Amino acid sequence: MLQLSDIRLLYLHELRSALRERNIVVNSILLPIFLYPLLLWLVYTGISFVVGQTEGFTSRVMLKGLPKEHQRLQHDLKKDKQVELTQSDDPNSDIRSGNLDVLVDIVPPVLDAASLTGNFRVRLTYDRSKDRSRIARDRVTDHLSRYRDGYFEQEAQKFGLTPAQLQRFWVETHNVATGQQMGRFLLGLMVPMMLIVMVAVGSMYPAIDCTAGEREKSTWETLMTVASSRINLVVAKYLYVATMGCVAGILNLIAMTFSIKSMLGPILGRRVEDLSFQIPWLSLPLIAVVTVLLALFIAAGMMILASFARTFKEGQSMVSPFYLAVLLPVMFLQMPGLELTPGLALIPIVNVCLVFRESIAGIYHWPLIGLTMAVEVVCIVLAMWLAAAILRYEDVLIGSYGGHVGRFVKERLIGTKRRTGDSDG
Amino acid sequence: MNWTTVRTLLIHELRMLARDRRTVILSIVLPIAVMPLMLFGTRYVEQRREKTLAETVYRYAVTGTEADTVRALLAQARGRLFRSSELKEQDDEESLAGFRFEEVRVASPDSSLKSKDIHFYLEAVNGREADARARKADAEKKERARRRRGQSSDSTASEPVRLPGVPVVTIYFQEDRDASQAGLRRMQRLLVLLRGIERDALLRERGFPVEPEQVIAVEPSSVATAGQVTGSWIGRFLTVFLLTLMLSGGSIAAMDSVAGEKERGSLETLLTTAASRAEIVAAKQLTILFIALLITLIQVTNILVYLNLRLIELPKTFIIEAPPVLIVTLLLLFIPVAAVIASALLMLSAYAKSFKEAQMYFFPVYLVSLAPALAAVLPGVSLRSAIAVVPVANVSVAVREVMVGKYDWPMIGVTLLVMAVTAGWMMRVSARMLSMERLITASEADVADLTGGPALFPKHVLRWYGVMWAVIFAVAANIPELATLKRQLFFNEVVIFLGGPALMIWKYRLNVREALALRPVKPLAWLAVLLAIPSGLVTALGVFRLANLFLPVPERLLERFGQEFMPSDIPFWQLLLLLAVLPGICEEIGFRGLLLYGLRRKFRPVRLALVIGAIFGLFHIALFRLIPTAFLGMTLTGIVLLTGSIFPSMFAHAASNALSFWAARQGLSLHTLDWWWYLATAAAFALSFYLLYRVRTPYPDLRA
Amino acid sequence: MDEPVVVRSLTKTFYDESRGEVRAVQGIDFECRVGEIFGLLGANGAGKTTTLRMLATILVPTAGSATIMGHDVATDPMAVRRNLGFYSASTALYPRLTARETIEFFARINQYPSDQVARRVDYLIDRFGIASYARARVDKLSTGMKQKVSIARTVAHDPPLLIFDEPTVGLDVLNALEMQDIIKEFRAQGKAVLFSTHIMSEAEKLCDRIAIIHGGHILACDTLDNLRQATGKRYLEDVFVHYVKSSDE
Repeated sequence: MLQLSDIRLLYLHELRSALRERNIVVNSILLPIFLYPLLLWLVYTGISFVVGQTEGFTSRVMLKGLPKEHQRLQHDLKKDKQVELTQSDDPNSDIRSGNLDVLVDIVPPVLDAASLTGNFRVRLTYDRSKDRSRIARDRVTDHLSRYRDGYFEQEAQKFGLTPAQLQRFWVETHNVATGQQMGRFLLGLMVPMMLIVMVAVGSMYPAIDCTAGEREKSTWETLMTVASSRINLVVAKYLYVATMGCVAGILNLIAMTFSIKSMLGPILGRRVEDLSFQIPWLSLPLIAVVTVLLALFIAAGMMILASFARTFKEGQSMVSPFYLAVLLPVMFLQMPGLELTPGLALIPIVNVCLVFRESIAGIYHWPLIGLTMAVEVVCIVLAMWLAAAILRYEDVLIGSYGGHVGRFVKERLIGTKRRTGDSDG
Repeated sequence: MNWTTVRTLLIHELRMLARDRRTVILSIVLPIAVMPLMLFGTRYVEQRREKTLAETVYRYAVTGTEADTVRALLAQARGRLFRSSELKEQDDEESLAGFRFEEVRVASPDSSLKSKDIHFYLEAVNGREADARARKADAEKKERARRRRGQSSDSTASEPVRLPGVPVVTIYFQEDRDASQAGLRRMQRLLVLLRGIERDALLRERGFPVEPEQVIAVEPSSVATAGQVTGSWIGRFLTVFLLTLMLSGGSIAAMDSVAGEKERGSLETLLTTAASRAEIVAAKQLTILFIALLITLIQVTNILVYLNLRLIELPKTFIIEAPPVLIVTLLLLFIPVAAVIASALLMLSAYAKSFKEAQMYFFPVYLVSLAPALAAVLPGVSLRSAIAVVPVANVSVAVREVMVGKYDWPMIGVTLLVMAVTAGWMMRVSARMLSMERLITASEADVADLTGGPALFPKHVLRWYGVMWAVIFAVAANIPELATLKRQLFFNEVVIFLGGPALMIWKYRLNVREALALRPVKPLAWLAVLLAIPSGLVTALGVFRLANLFLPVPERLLERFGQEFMPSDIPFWQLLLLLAVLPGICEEIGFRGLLLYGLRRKFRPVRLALVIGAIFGLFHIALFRLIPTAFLGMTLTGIVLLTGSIFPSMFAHAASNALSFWAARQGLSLHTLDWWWYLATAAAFALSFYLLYRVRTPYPDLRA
Repeated sequence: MDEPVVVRSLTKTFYDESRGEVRAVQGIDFECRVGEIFGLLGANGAGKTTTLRMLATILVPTAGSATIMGHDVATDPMAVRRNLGFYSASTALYPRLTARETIEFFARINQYPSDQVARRVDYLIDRFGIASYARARVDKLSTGMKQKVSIARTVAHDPPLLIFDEPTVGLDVLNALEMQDIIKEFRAQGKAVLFSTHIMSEAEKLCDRIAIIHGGHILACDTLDNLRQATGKRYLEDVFVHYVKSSDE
């Protein structure tokens, strides 16, 4: 039966060969660590490029029909280095063809607005489907609104109203959440999903490689002849796959907390400096334990499916649906405001995701966390039971079973066609 | 090319693919089944969230000296329903019409907010107190700015500012709570709305003749139709989207087609038949192309179905105009893209030795192909520019122009030509790969793997530099203690560029003299190097300006960069040591020493210089520095290759850095010289290399 | 008329990143005649497979020349491939095709007259006794069955030259014997057969002429009897060792 020394030996053997397999190293170790710095670089580079592009535009503006008393507006526009005043015979078609960005057409105000002396109306013609034209419109609108404010205040003063009176009151907002709370909130939105994805990605290759892959390389048979019981073999492999999943997940978590600040930098701008991305210390052991449970569950599921495959490629196509099934629920949980409830705690994976999120924010609903863990354990036990049921069949164990999981479950676990494990391949 | 053979091969490939039931299920059936599930799920959760937020009665408290004024203001709002003309709501805003709010009297609003008893609270203070607070905040801000020297504030002049004496209402909320944020958004809009209504009433009372809105009223009108606006939006992302579909669809066929055949051994069989390499490649390419297009078609249909079923909701202003000419042009543009993708995937598959290996290469290829497709996302790129000759990027831009109704036929022609040439070239490379013995025959055990040591180093060298790059990047981004110039330089130069090579020399037991090319140099070569330094520097700046025409660099970025590297509080000699001598020694050991030594047999000399230059550029991280530094890197590599020694390049590197800093100190702006200056220096630069070539002592043991 | 296979100073050099140049084949000469089984005898890594791969146009020679039915392997590989059938332990079949489809595919791709393909396939199925499993997919077949399908596809287009690269590797005695019989039969049909092996008994039994290849050189090339006479040894094994030893000294 179970022999710990054998399991240890086999486990170390699996780990060592995994670390020498390029695919596994890339997917379970390098990808989780380096994905973020790389993405970061791409985002940063992309943003500086776009900023460079946008800044480089000069907006070609045509000013038409400006009254004498408002010459200051033209002066303002001329002073702006990013604005170039031009003339055109057919502004509309020039805007369409992209030779002119915006037409500022000064027209008389509508009837009842004319009672204010010097008042006018502006028709801005631009092309919304062109970036350059839109940018030009924004620039001109900026100038106009500044000019308008000045003019408005000046006119209102004639009626005894000061600018301060016109402003009435000022509305400000103030976020009382600390930088730490905000940091945890943002981490909570991103980290759980990535953690689960990485555990799945990290276990996928090892799970296939140590089952279907071994069959392909015909080392499976060699392994079957060693002087250790098969249960030891399976346990060692199982632990190894779960380890790789955990490693990928944890490495990713570390890489993510490290680089999230710089990743959000280009998006949030200056604000990011006030944020602190630190996971509460108490949460670390909790996250670790839940990650282990998650990895054990995912490893079991993947290995069961992959053990029916004879080649690596086949293994991949068998595991993929499970992989998707793990990721799907997580994908649409990416919104704020969702909290761990008893109902959600019953759904595997989803509950883990929410436990991650809340513990990152420093919220601990212990009964629900307990429930979550219990649910995961039940899942693992179920998977174990299924694995044990499958391993009873020799043809599956030695790799001569020709069918796939669905057929196996239908014919042997539920169906009436119970046969002992003689080969039918 | 015999088309009957190609046909036979094509049918053969397609038949085999169709019989691979698992692949078919995985690549076609699964995505079709998964997509609606995902859409339903996201939509359901999102709707539930919106509903909850809309039904919430937002609880708040009011404090401050002017609390009663705010209460009165809100009481007035509670009673009335706003007309939609008053609300002026955007499509994407939550409606104020159903906004329900309720004041709660609490002892301490702050702690109530923290304990989630209320969603937010308002604090209203009168003008005098607000002024006092503003003064205090201002002083703090100045103090902060003084401490963080060199970083200017971002506030722009166009933003309105509070005038002295105006009362302030502050909404305190918690951004890490969804409901608190939602409450804030609504309350803020309500207050602004009420303020406007009050102001209008005041103006009317004083006899102001017109509605304030009609003072210099601005009426924007766009010449673009709704269809064009939608088109410009879709056009931005259409190429990326379809490219993703094509890549993932085509990869299914591609991985199996060459890499898989190699693994199974059937490729060798196929290569001994009377089908030529070109025919085999053509048939495989067509297979991948067919599958890529088929899967893309299925997926697009799939999406259209969901659009029709309203599983995906579009904004109301979304109007898709699709005249036949548009559809034909799009097809005309996308089929070459599919062909290029198919060729790229085929190349990948031909390069990989097994199915697994092919899979591993897929992700990088995916990223690299996606990058040019993003060209359409950039603002203001026109097809009438250099972009027309960049494969994929040109289609991406062309698609966007076509989507807004601009058919630039000559440039579309250029685009198609470029794409056709690219696809053809890639197919030729694939065909050549089928003749490369290293790639088709199972390789015998590599001696290097058995013995280890120096022989193994060339195989591992790129990995080392990959790790070094990531470390530099991660450290710079994450460890604030290293953010000062001195420390960062010390870390990069000494720890990475000196420590990394030292570690490699130790690990692979390399011969230091050989690995670092520590060899004597002919006096005449020194003379040539001396000429190459100033001319190379100015030429590099010319290259930078040339590159700037295509990739404009934000001026603010350059300024900040200059400030960071030109701190005024460090003496010039120290700066020289830090910015010229240190990089001259350490970076040369890193790049022209170990990296060059490791790669010397991987590439032929010219390509070797290009590769090392590019890697050197990548290590400088910022995009705008990539091209000039890569140019410098290539020059330095060239010097080492021609003199066989690292010393001249160390000297050239240090001198070149020193020269550019000296010039900057003296206020010489080498960035803005006349173009003929650059031409003249480029000629001098070429002359120096010609001299170097004449007196060369080649780097030993290069690939012929 | 020229001999079916003429090889003159054929050389192959590989380039390896860590080892530099590797000379796999260093200027070998031989020819193979009509109705003859010509054997390349050598240890693993001697250059047999590289030589045969060059003749089959999988690899391009670095120097020297080789002509097959008068066509040069370097300049006219297409014509060469139309005229040869290449069989080796590493040339696999397509698992998802049936046996019949496999043979038909290779007949067509090798440009066998298309109106005669069906008849040729029927003949081969009949000749190699494939009929009972002709409609089964290749991945379901046993090793022996696969071997027969593999031979049938090699001769699907009835080429005048056949190249067998260690054809009996991995086969059991009965299958190996059958393979030898088939090869002899091809000789009887007047085809030239080029054949490589490291099994002495096989070479002794089958080959009309033998070339001993070692370290990329041909050490000797003659009939078995002449080789025996030249060395004074009785068994081919001893003959082989004699040449290899004397070359290493």
